[in-house]
Order: sequence, then C-alpha cells, then structure tokens
Amino acid sequence: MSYLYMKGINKSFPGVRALKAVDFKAEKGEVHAIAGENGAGKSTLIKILSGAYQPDEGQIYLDEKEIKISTPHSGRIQGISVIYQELSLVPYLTIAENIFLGNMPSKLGAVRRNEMNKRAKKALEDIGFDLNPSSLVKDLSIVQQQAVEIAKVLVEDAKIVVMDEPTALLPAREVETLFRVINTLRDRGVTVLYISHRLNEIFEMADQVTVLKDGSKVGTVRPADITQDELVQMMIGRKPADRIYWSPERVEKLKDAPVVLEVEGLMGEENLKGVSLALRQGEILGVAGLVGSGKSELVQCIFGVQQATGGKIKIRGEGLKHPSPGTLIRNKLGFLPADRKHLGLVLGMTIKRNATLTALPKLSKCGVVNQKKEDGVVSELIEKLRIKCYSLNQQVETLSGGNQQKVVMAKWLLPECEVLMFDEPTRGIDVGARSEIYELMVDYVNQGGAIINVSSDTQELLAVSDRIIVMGQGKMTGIFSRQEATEDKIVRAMF
Amino acid sequence: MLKFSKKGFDRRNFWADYQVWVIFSALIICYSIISPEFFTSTNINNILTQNAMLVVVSLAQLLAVVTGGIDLSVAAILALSGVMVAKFVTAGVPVGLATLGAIGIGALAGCINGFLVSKLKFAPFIATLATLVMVKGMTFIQSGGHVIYVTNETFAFLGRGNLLGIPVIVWVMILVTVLVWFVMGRTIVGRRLYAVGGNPEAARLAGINVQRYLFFAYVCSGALCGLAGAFMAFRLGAGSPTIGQEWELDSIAAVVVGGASLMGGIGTPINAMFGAFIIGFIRNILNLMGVAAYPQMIVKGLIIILSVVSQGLGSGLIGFKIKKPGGEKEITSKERQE
Repeated sequence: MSYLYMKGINKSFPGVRALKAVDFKAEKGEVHAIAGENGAGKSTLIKILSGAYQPDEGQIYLDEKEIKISTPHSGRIQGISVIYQELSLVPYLTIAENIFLGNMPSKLGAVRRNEMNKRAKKALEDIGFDLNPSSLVKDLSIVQQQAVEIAKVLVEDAKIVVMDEPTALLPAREVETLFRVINTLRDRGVTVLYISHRLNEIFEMADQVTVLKDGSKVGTVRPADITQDELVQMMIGRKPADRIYWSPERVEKLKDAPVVLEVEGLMGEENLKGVSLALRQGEILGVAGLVGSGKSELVQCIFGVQQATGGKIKIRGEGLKHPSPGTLIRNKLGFLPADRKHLGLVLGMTIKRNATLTALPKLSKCGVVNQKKEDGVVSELIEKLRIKCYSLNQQVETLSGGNQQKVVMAKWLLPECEVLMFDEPTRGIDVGARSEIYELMVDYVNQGGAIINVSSDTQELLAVSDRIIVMGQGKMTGIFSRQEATEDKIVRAMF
Repeated sequence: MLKFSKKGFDRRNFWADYQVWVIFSALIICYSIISPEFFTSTNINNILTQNAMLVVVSLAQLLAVVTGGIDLSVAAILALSGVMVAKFVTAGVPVGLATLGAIGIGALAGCINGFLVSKLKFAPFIATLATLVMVKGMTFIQSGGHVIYVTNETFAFLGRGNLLGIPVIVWVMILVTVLVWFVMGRTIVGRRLYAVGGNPEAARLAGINVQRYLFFAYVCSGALCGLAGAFMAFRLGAGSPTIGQEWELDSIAAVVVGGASLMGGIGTPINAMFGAFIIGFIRNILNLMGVAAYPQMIVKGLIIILSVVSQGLGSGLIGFKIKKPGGEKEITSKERQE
C-alpha cells in the first residue's frame, strides 16, 4: 500500500458533488503535485486531508494504518500540515517564537528561550536558511517567512506537508530558494503535496502529478512522461485553444492609429527612473520585467496610486497636472491592480455595486441612483463578460478568481474607459478562465480601447501583446515589436 | 445560456439581514404576553416616543459604523445640544432657530471627529473619545451642572404634542429614518460610503475621495445627534447635562443587533432602527417585570452577544460548525479555491 492512501473519497455539498470516489496515493519522500482547474476539487481534497472537512465516504491510510482526522489540529498531531498561501505567522513575534508557538520548551511555566532559539536555528539550518531566531517575523521576506513555516512543521515532525500555491506571492528569484527547501524536505523523507497553477513548476519539481477534473480523478502521471500540452488537456479535457490572440493585421492597422496615452520620463519614488512610452488606440502594450524592475510602479504612477516624482503624462495630447485616480478616471483611464481582492474589489459588496462603483454619476439623476437602469447595464455586462453567478446581487467574495477579475473589468467598461492598465491580469486564475480574459482584452481593443498589460508571465505577453517593453531596475531595457519578440529575447533583456 | 436572477437574494446573508426582524417579533410577542395592554394605542405611542430619539442616535452611529469607524461622542453631543437649545430658548431665541443652532453645534462636534479621523488619520475610537470628553466638559460649563427648565409653548408642543394623532417626536424619527434610508440606499453618496467602509483602498482606486466621505459621515452623525438632543430637550421641557447616559453604548448595540459590521461596509438604516427598538424594548419589558436597572444591563449585554453569535452562525464566520451548512456557502468555499 502507498504511504498515504486516500481511498474512495466522496464529498457532497448541497447541490454539488465536490469529490466523486477519488483515490489518491502518494509515496514517502516524494513531491506530488495536484493539478486541476478551479472547482476541480483540489481544495476539497486537501481540506479533507487536513481535517477541515469530513468526507461523506472513504478512508485515509497513513503508513498502512487507517487514521481519522477530525480537526486541523488532530491532523497536525498525526503529521499532516498545510501551509496556506496566506501565511499564518504572527508578525510581531520572533522567528523562534513562531516556530514553537503552541509548544514552547518551558520550565515551570517560563519559556526556555535559549533552548528554543537554539532549536529554531537548527531547524532553519536544516532547510538551508541562516537566520537569527530572535528577529521579528515582520522583517522577513516572503520566502524567509515560508521557510519559518516549513521549519515549524518540521519541528512538529510532519510526515505530509501540503503547500497551497506556495509561489503565488513569491518574487521570481526566490522561487528557486523555495524549490531548494522542498528538495530538502523530500530528502528527509517528507511527502510534499504541491498545488500550483504554474505548470512549469509542476514539471520542474514534481515526481508525480495527480490531475482532478470536476471532482473526479483523471489520473496520476509522471511529469517526465508527458508534455505541458498533454497535462493541460488532462486538466481541461479538451485541446487548449490556440493561444495566440495577436495578429499581424492588427499591428498593421496600428500604424495610423492616434496616440491615446503618452508618458515622458516618468519617475517614481523608488523604482522608476525615467520611463517614456506612447500607447496607440487599439494597441495592447505588454510590459515585462522581474519583480522589483519597476513594471508595477510604472502603471501605479501613471494612475496616481503612487505619487510620481517627475515626468509628464499626456492623455490624447493633453497634459495632466496632478495624476490621481479621480482625475485619471475622468480622463477615461482604468486600472486593474494585481491585488484584486484588496485593491480592485470591495469583497463584501455585490457584483452590481462593485461594477457600478466607478459609473454611478452616469446611472443617476440628481445624485439618486436609477436602480432599473443599473440592473439593466450590469445584467448586460454579466452576459457580455460571461461572469458566472446566480444573481447580480451575489457578493463578489463568493466568486472564483477569474470571475472576480471580470467584475473588475466590468467596473472599468461601464464608465467607457478608453485605456485599461492591467497589472498581472491572470494571477491566480486557472487556464480556462485565462483564455477568456485574453479574449475579452482583444475584444476591448478591437472596439477602440487600448491596453497596457503588465505581466510576469512571458507566455501571456507573447500571446496578446502587439508590442512588448522590458523593464529592469526602473528603466526600460528593451522594446520589441511583436514580430521580433521571442521569449528568449525578453528574458535576456530582463537581467 | 447564463442563468441568474436580477432580484435573487444571497442566502448567505439572509440571516444576518433578517435576524433583527426575528428578534423584534419575538420581543413583541413576549411583550404582549407579559403586558396585555401592549396593543393599546396609548402604549404603542409611549413606546415610540420613548425610543424615537434612540433611533435617531443609532442612525447617527450607523453612519460612522458603515465607514468602518465608530462614534463614541453621540451621547455627549446629544446632551450638549439639548442644553444649548434650552439656553437659546430661555434667552429668547425662537425655537426653530434654536433647533437649527443645536444641529449646527452637533455638526461642529462632528467636524472635529471628521477632521481627526480623515485628515489626521486618528483611529475613530480615539478621535471620538477625545471629542466625547471635550463635549462633556463643554456641556457642564454651559449648564453649570444644572438642569435648565424651559417654559415655552412651541417647545412643549414639539416635545409632547401630536400631529395627525402621532407624536411630533415620532414624526421626526420617521422622517430621519426615511431620509437616512434614502441617502444610504438610493444615492451615489450612500453607495460610496459603503464602498469606503468596505474597502477604503479599492474605493480610492475607484476615484472616490475617501477622506471627504469619512468627514461627511462624521459631520452628519454629529448633526443628527444635535437634532436628537434638541428633541430630547423638548420632550423633557428642559436641557439636562446628564441626558442620554449610556446612549453611545446603546446605539452601538442597536446597530450591531441590526446586523451592521463594526469592520465597516455592512448595515442598513432600517435594521438599525429595529435594533434601537429592540434595545428599547428590552428596557421596557424588564421594567414591566420589575427587574432593577443593573440586572437589565446584564440582559442587554447578553442580547448583544447572542445576536452577534447568531449572525456568525448564519454566515459561517464564527468557528462553530452547523451540521448542515447552507448551500450557497459551501459552493462558495469550493469556488474560492485557486
């Protein structure tokens, strides 16, 4: 029998069968990826393993013995730990205190700090980190915080570690560090269950990958035996759509199109040292760069999220004096931030109210909102953008990432914005929903809009952009027309 | 083909939105059992009159709470404006003008709150606590610690008279409730206030001047308290520096029982009104049952705890597990994976 064996797991929620007789097996000391689109059942499976949910049917065996996991706490005690995307560390406690939170070594009720620090340091060194155990967690980088979480589960003697999208928030250069830690875990005989939307990570790290679709297991394969396309096909059950949305004809048309947005020598406080660009109507301009290259700062400074310290912004030839979100919106510019949940949406509000937040004056008379008109335009947009929901009064919090991004788009389509700036438009969004977002972007420029698309995903930039700018250390380090751009050239310009 | 209804409600929030009505009805039933005279028009008039201004103060509180803040100074402003109205009228100022003066004083105190919160970025708790203390001091300076009695016909009419068979003070409550309901539910300003409270950063990026709306909320809150203070004075026939004691707490309790979230962004005026009546009812029922004032406070506290717990249970926010969770919620957590 496999080291971890989840047998015949069934789980239903009212109206949905989330898992249908799933058999899941993982061996000791392997990195086992779990892949699937949103709603495929990955989270439910993990939550059952961690004890957050109880299965309707099925058994879980660990090391040949059947185990019962009634709560996450009992899961931890039996050696199953989950590291969530949002880390659960206490920022104002030290590293050592966080690692031993819950079971600090003590004598007569007093914490034995020296011993605790010593053991914490050892645990961190085991996974290749040299950190001072008395420094505060809030001062650590994300990968260091992840290391602290991992050290914590190691101290608790975890046998199975589940990592839920560990690289989602990680700067690119730190991903390697995390992978090194995962390798250390594997060498120590820990089984790592790895959930990620990034297929290349699965191919780089995983020994095995189990694919779920609509609550059923599609299969378990070795990444070495298949190609990325085959894996995507397993996940979505159809051939991936032609991923190129760009066409030479469009670029040809752009030559005579008017310039809608012009930026000259834009400077930001930290990471922006004089960037100039011009965006034409109907164009999708891609912006590539590593984290910290200034690519996000560029759009944030244009939109006035961050204060620009120098430079000029012209919209349709007219200069802007004090860029602030308000003035930019009046000039028909919209911004879709990378952090949708915290910056793009009011999660507790309904789809309707989020969508019309920027367009209220248009829908009102003397300050009173015309609700009929509002319902009408929002319903239209929901259909046009294919937002999956049961009501326009549904809270956006309950939507999937892709549908949330569509609501943010609706928010900028309603006031008829002529320029949209996307920051990481498909972060945390699954493959199927991604191509829908790309299609919407292309529709939008075909109808006379223009887009600046900042993205860490080079494939994405190549798929939709008419032109690609590469940023490095706050400056533009390369500019390629779509014809000459290749992944190789772009990546080389980043470093 | 997409399926969604235009009107459909979110089952997830159903209990949070309507539990206040359930508690309200339950209390009315209790009340009518304990006191057979409950459904007499005199009694209903009495109840309405007694709680009318608590409703107005609770609506003022709601304005602050919806923006993610809190207004501890509501009761202090109420007392100050009550005292000032009495002083104005005794000095010969016409009652109408004196009332406007009281509203102005309330708005001015609200300006202090608004300035501290929106410009100086004070935590609302601290800002309004400071205002509370200052306003209280001002009240005692102005009144000399005494109750200021007023004999004036208009004054008495506004406080105890009837218009079309309904007490004037109840008309005021109805008008204010409708006004706040209209502003919060139907206008751009209301929409933006909810957005500012729900997520200030997202509101800013949607082009909303967050500071201006925060300021506005506290000024309006103060003005409503000023109005309530004036009418409390009319009802008493005097300006009392100690009127409305504990109303800051009662009003917070009312909006919370009414389903508002102290995190901001959630809460409706109609529910806040029912919340205020619930708090008032509890006092009345316990009085009828002969329960003394101090045990009453314990009961009030328990009701607040119960209502928050039941809201948490209904929306799954509190860590208890119900055996069969609501359908919507579970689909939700599944959708949320990404």
